[in-house]
Amino acid sequence: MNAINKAILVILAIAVSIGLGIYASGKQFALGDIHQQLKQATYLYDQQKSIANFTLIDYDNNILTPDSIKGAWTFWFFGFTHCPDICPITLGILSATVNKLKSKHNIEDDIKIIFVSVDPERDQPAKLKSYTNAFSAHALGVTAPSKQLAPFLKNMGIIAIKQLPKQESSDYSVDHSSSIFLIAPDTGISAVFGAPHNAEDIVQDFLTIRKFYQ
Amino acid sequence: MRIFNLFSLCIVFALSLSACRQQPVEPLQINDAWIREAPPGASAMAGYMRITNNAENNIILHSASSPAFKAIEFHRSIEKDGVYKMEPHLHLHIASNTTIELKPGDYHLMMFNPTNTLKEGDTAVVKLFFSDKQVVSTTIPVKKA
Repeated sequence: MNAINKAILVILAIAVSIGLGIYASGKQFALGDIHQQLKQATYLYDQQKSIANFTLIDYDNNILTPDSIKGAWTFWFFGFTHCPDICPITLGILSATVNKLKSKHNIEDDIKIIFVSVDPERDQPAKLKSYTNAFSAHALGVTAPSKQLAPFLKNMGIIAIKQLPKQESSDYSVDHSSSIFLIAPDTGISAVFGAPHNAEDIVQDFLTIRKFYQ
Repeated sequence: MRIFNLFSLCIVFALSLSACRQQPVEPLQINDAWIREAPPGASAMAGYMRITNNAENNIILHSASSPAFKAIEFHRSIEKDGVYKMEPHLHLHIASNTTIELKPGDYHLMMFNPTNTLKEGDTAVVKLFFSDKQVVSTTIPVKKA
């Protein structure tokens, strides 16, 4: 190997290491950056956490597994149809979020809202369907028998506690986690949005996360 | 002196006129009431309103009823440590000269089992039973959020 070749190799090696360094620091900078840019969400994707395996039943009695949501961005919210205040408010916010992303920001990606009923005892598929359809054509209602649902809720860190009525109405309520989850098209858990929720902030955070994800 | 008398007479006249014009203040006022339209078949709906107590004494809202619902309770949605809860309240206190607001994500009327499906444009008559045997009947429109 002559001197010229040696010199070229050395230069190449230096260039490659500089390039790698820039790439790595850029990546790191971008990660720090995304946390600062987010308005409402806590970004989780960098933890490489994929959604745990699950088998749920959708409002048309179809089985829903992680494979079924591959390729789509999904916003997940947990609630129950006997909830007349918080659940309609949150589903309204998510519905407004998807509408804004589609019509105002021209996002053509497949975006779905998945409403998980933590009250399978009362929320039969037909009931879930009329409830979720009232909010958005992009919303899918899902649930599962308690034995099947419980491990999924546990994996997602979701709390659901049945509260027996204190008055004569004879209707129980269910305390449930307030967070909205965003799952990326590769089924990685991208972000968690803590309450109180706001459609415009979720829209902005989605755009930030999507840009970073690409 | 005569001018002064005339002047004071004018003032008295003007004051009495404005006094006559003043609307008598209702001791209890219900404003901006609405019921959130619910998906078909929903077992409960939420009602919201502002209740103003213009009286000198504190009042208590003991109960509410409507022929359009099986039962009405007072609930408050609260978010604590990442969990949404519904807190039932047996009654609501409204201090003298204050307004309480029943609003989305907070205090609301929890209206169980509508007798008929209520859609936007429909109304429901709701009776509110306060302390001192005061009853206020109000017609509440159903609205989409």
